[in-house]
Amino acid sequence: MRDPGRDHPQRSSQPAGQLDRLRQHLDGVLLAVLADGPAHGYALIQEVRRRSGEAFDLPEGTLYPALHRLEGAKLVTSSWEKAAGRRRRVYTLTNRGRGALETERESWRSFASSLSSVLGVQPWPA
Amino acid sequence: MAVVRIVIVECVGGPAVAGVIDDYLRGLQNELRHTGRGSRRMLRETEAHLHESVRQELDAGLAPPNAEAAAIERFGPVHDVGLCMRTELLRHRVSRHATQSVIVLPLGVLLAGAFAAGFLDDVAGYSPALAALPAVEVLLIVGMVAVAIRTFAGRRLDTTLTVRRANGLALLTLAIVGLQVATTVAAHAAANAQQQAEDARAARNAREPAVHVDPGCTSDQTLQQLRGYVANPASIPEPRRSQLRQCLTEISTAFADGLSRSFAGLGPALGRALIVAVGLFDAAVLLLAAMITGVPAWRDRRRLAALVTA
Repeated sequence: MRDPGRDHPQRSSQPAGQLDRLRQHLDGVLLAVLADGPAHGYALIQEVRRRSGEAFDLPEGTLYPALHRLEGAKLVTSSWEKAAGRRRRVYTLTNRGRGALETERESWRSFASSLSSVLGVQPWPA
Repeated sequence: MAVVRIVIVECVGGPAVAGVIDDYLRGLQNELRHTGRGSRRMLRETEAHLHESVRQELDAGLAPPNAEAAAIERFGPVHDVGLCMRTELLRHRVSRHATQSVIVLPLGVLLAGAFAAGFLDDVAGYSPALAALPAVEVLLIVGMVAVAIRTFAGRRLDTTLTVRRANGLALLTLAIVGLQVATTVAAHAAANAQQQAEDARAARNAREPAVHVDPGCTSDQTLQQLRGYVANPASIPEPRRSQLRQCLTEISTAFADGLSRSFAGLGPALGRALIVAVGLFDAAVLLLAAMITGVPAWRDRRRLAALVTA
């Protein structure tokens, strides 16, 4: 349960560099979440937060421009759906989006592996 | 305002909408002015998101005012979110306009070039290659501008805040094509006038029979004789007087003809100069448009960079 009086401790304590890094990979993050199935914006942001262990606490309003951009690139499609009397836009990954996600994963693996080697830590994946 | 009201009515069934969310949506709508139809969808999605967020907070046990405040706070400051959304909407819009311009402009220029070439070739024997020259030049520049706009629109989102000015690019295209056609018509009129002048001269020559002068008229001997006649006109015998008159008539006609040919070349030259000038004008205007679209919005740049947008 959220504390009514709390002032988003995670976001305020979130290092700026982490947000910067997330910004560069936001498309991949969203595609990865959508790979598990269609989702609306609110569910997407909650899932990103959950998967990152509350580390990625994005300003939620920044999610929609990213989704529009992905839709413009035909990586996702969207449609209005009605659930419990409320309309919400649900996003679905396209085949092209799956391809882009694979490319993003490969790119990240390669980058992470190289960086791990340079930094002298265990290469990922081990 | 109307959009916000409509959206709220469509979301009947959600938690009670307090003034806080209403104000937030109104502020966001204000931020998204002049961004096209996409803003309506952004507002709808924002409202649906806020309703969902409020509902979750209420389920978690928050009081309604706190739930609404928390939902809005998590969504982000209205100006920052508006900036982020506006940037994306404008990027999309500019990209669309750039595509339209890239299609329309070369077509227009090619049509105008073909128009000019056809007219001038038919009327004045004007080389089509010369008319096509500015068209090729403009095509190259259009290509460069298209690449520049696409680059700015796709990679440097902050620059697209000023790129909305590029919306006028499509209108500019029409203006350029119009100018090109007007120039072509002007060149055609000039060539036409020249043709009419030549026709009139040919008709005049046809009316006046050609003067056949004894070739000896231009020999040195005759020249000496002519000098003698000039010194003493009274000494010109009658048969020679008539021949001399014919000879002078031929000389003056040949001189007038040469002069006329020299001036006749001015028509096509003027048309060519006009078309080249329009080509250069096109290039200057398009480069100017590229410069305008490339100017970053420094005021918003830092703020946008701080937001989480890819």
